[in-house]
Amino acid sequence: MIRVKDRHITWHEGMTVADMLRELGDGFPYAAALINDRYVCRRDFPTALIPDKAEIILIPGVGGG
Amino acid sequence: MSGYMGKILHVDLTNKTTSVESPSDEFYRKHMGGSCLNLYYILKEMQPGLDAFDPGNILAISPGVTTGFAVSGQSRVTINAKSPLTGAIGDSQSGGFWPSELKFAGFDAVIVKGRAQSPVYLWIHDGEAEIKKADHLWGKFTGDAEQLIKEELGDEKCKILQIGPGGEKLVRFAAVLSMCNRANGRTGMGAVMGSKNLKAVVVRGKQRPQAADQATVKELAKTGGITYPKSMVAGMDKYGTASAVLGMQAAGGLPSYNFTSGVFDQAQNLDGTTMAKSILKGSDSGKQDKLGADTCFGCVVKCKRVVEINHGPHPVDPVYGGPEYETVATFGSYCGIDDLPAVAKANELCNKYGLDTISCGATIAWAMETFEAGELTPEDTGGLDLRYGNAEAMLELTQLIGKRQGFGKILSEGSARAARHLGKGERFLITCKDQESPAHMPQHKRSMALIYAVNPFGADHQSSEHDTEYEPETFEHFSGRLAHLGLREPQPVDALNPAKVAYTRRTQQLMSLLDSLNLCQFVWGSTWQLFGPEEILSFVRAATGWEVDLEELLEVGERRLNMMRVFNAREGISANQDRLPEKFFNTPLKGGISDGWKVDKPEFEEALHEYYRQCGWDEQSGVPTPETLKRLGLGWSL
Ligand code: SF4
Repeated sequence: MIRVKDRHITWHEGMTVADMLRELGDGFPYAAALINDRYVCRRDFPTALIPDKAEIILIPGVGGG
Repeated sequence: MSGYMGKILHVDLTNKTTSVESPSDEFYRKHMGGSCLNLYYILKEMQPGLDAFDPGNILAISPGVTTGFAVSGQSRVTINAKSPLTGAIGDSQSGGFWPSELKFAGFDAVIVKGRAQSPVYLWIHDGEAEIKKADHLWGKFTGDAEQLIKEELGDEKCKILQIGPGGEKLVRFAAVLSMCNRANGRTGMGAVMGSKNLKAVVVRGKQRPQAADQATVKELAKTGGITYPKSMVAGMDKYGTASAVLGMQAAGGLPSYNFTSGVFDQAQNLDGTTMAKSILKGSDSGKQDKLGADTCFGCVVKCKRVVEINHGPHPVDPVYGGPEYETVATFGSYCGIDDLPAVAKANELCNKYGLDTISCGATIAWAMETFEAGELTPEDTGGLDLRYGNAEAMLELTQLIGKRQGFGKILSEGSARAARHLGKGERFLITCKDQESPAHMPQHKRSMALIYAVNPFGADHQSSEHDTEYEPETFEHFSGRLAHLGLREPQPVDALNPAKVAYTRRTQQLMSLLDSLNLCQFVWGSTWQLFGPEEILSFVRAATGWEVDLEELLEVGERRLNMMRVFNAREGISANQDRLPEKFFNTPLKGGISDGWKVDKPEFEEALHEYYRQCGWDEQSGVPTPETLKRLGLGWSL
């Protein structure tokens, strides 16, 4: 099980950030993710692996601020 | 009369008089509030060509017709006057509780002219206004002045909009603050207040704006709460706007080393997620989600930060809040500094002295680059070693700017004036109309090149939607909302073609409307925000009862922009100052994925003319044509 956006998602061996986003299904264009404090940017989503029990923070690429 | 209170307060500080005006419903419908309403008085009542510190400069302060209803993202206020930083129209927004409280006190706007003989503050309560002495408050930090005013009035709950010592001493980028941590930061409105000897505007009241359709207003408030956790702004309560640091870094658009690079290797040390774990109030006991987030009246997003540091070299008082993304970038990556407590300390100093964190941090970054290049020496800086990464020097300089002492006195004029005064470092400037660029890079998001140049009050990042929301890759998600603005042709992030110009102009109109209604751009917008154009329309209709459509609302935004251009033209500012710093054209970014990126000058020039064409402005001068002004009901300004 991994935790993202206050939701629990079932983990599987070889799960990438792109897999997790598909599972999450909100369709938002995130710019980056923090996987247990490890920083992954969008272009690496298809290959970056997620370990079991990971805590994930998704970073939107929004303007303003 | 729905949505507005029907009263505008006029204050003449020279003659120590106040008067109340009750404009017509038609007036409110045409201007709505914020800068559109403020500009009406500035254009009508202010003589052209005055110095920004002349008593004849008009300082106009107003929320909008949707302010004061407990819906997310509605409690904001805009301040306008001629800017001492740019010489053009000044414009700045902030949130908090002051904006709604002004309406509770019975007023829609405060229009101030003249100069008091000695320091004063305004006390506006339950439909009345008094001018009170403020000699005892002059020179005090914002936190101390706030306490003294509350004690003096015997009212812990009054809301205070004030300047700090920076505004009193006429730092050209001085801010106006409420709650000691919400800043109307940009364009030096604090210095204009200081020039009028006006320390504060204090408000309190029990009145409430009446909604024409209370059920819809209530429904919007409820929907905000339900939608937020699933929205794209979810997480703002935990990590604040500084969570954008890593997003910008990922895209190669995090301004670093005074816009020399779009990546900063230590970006993670500055990010909102790091802030949440390390310095937010309550983080030592795991209670930062509760104690480290703050909000504005009625808002579920709670993006405001509260930092508390009780140990180490940089203690920070939570009264002064915590740094936003822009502040983290300007004092952090712009200056090559990855020391988050030092950045939070710089934020505290700016909020104590009343300084704009963007211009202050960016001016220091400019000095650092000029120092690194050997053009500034310790003799110029009073012995300060201004190499990138020197957090102690950055903090020392921030204080010197606030006090207008030593080298800080030169920098308190802003980087462009400092460069001209010293005859050094002009090629390192990142200013548009003499205002320092915020933390969104035109080299990355190409429409920022256009908007920074044409914006009437200098480089600004909240005047249009950004390119990343119109990319083919992300468009699907935003297409529904953008279709309301007729925007159906997504473009690459680095395109600056006519379709991108149309996107920039159209979303600029919407943002301009938001700055007239004074709706927060993290909650309301046309792409990623909690609410889109449909909800904006429904909120205005429900609050006011007006049968408006979206085009009429967008025309308010367009009216505001045209009024600003008319003001600037009267001051001799038009296409001649719609320029970008040469650095953006001739110095490609270094390092990371944005290595080599720069703005293409011919493409920029073409976009500029295309923009003027689309706006209905003279293609050479960039001044609104008489036909355009008449179409917008501004024939009187000709
Ligand atoms: S989103 Fe943030 S700044 Fe905007 S109204 Fe809400 S708390 Fe205030």
